[in-house]
Amino acid sequence: MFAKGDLAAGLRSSVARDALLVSFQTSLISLAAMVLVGTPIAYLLATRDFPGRSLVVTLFELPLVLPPAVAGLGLFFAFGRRGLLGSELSTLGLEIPFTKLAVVLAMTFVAAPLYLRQAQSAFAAVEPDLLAAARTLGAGPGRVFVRVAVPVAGEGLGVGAALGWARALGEFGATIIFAGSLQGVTQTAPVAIYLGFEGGQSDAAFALGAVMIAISAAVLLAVKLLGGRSSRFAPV
Amino acid sequence: MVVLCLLAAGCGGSSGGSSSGHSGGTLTVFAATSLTNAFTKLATTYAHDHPGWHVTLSLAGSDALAAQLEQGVHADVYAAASPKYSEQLQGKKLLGATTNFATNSLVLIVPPDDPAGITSVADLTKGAKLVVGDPAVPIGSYTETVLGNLGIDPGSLNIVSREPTVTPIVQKVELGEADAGFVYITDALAAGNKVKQIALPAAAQATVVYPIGIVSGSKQAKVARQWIDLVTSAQGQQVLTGLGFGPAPSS
Repeated sequence: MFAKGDLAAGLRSSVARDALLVSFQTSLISLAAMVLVGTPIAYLLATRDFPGRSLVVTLFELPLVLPPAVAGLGLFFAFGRRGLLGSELSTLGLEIPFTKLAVVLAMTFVAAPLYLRQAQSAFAAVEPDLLAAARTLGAGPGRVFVRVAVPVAGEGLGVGAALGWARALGEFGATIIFAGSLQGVTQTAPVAIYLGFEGGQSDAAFALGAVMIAISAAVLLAVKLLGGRSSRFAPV
Repeated sequence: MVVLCLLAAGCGGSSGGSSSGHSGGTLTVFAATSLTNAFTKLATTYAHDHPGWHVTLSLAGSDALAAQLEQGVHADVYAAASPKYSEQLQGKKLLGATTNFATNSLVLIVPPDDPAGITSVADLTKGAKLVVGDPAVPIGSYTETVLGNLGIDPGSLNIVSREPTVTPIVQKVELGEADAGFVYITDALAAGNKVKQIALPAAAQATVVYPIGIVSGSKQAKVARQWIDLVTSAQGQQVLTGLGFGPAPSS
């Protein structure tokens, strides 16, 4: 049904190449956003107790269990041009739906909770004495975070980043609703696979599917190897 | 599997008093999404006229349904929004002879407040955010035909998304996130006052024809034929035209 020659031909098609390019571009930007913004948040959630903490954690974790289609509609209601922030955004000349930024937002919304959870447990596993010792030696909170907490939690953070990136790469439901599908702009590999199968252009769809399986397997294997060296990772 | 078991029970039972000659069962109809309202009404009519029989509608893109049939999914009747897919299935001996039972036409829709100020198709080239169907699906290929007939180069349009079915096109225009979209007139009518219609010049229209036929290997071809007869009957045609479909093409 599907020979090796078809795989090569499928991957050479412009649909497959564009889709992979869009997917890598957007998912890596999404990963950067998750790590840059998510890491300090995860550290605070893991090391501070404050009123309403469970509520904040629940809000952050909500996208993990929401149907992705609901996430897509939610993004319209927040960032759409008729959404809550729509008029503020258009004053800035920003219309997010149907753009690459929309793809990044959809990916980040759905994948960031995976990273946050993982990073939180990585920080929670850091010996409090270690942080206290750093403070006694005169390090400020920012320095303790950057020089002590992050390096010690590094492996757990790496596992979280790998899982978050893989989830972003596989995002489909929120993306097709909020960003739509346009080859070379917003059409990610999962969207191209869906359309390729529906429209009978199955060569590109199967080839992209093979690539996605290979990447997912590689990420899981990397996580296992990292996790094997470190006990500081939460079961997912 | 459940459907198959029901069919077996229905076919194996003794003849009841219904006009179908069977005690009852389930007829599985694969139909293009744009037929949703029409076939839902007719399914109620059918069940009423044939006690014991139930019509299960599987509604999706014509192309997706054709792909399912090619993968061996069971169905009795296939009704598509384009002869392209029925001919493709006939070529693979997966579908019997078809009858064209309805026509449709395309229309441009905009949000009720028309944010991009579109009063005719010519305004589309002014950068309005346009959502269309993917060229691989019927609505997308019909849209390409219409644009060709209008002499509009798709490259001059600000197409922001190519969607897999008509429904998300309607929804994105309803939400006001897109400025305009090309859909079937039947979808525009179903959306009521949530969208504003802009008619296309008659000369630019694409010929949207709906073929219907019995899926090869259907174990209840006789019942499937009754469904097709209902769809093509005066009663069926009345339901279809009431929802905006054109009459069956005379051929």
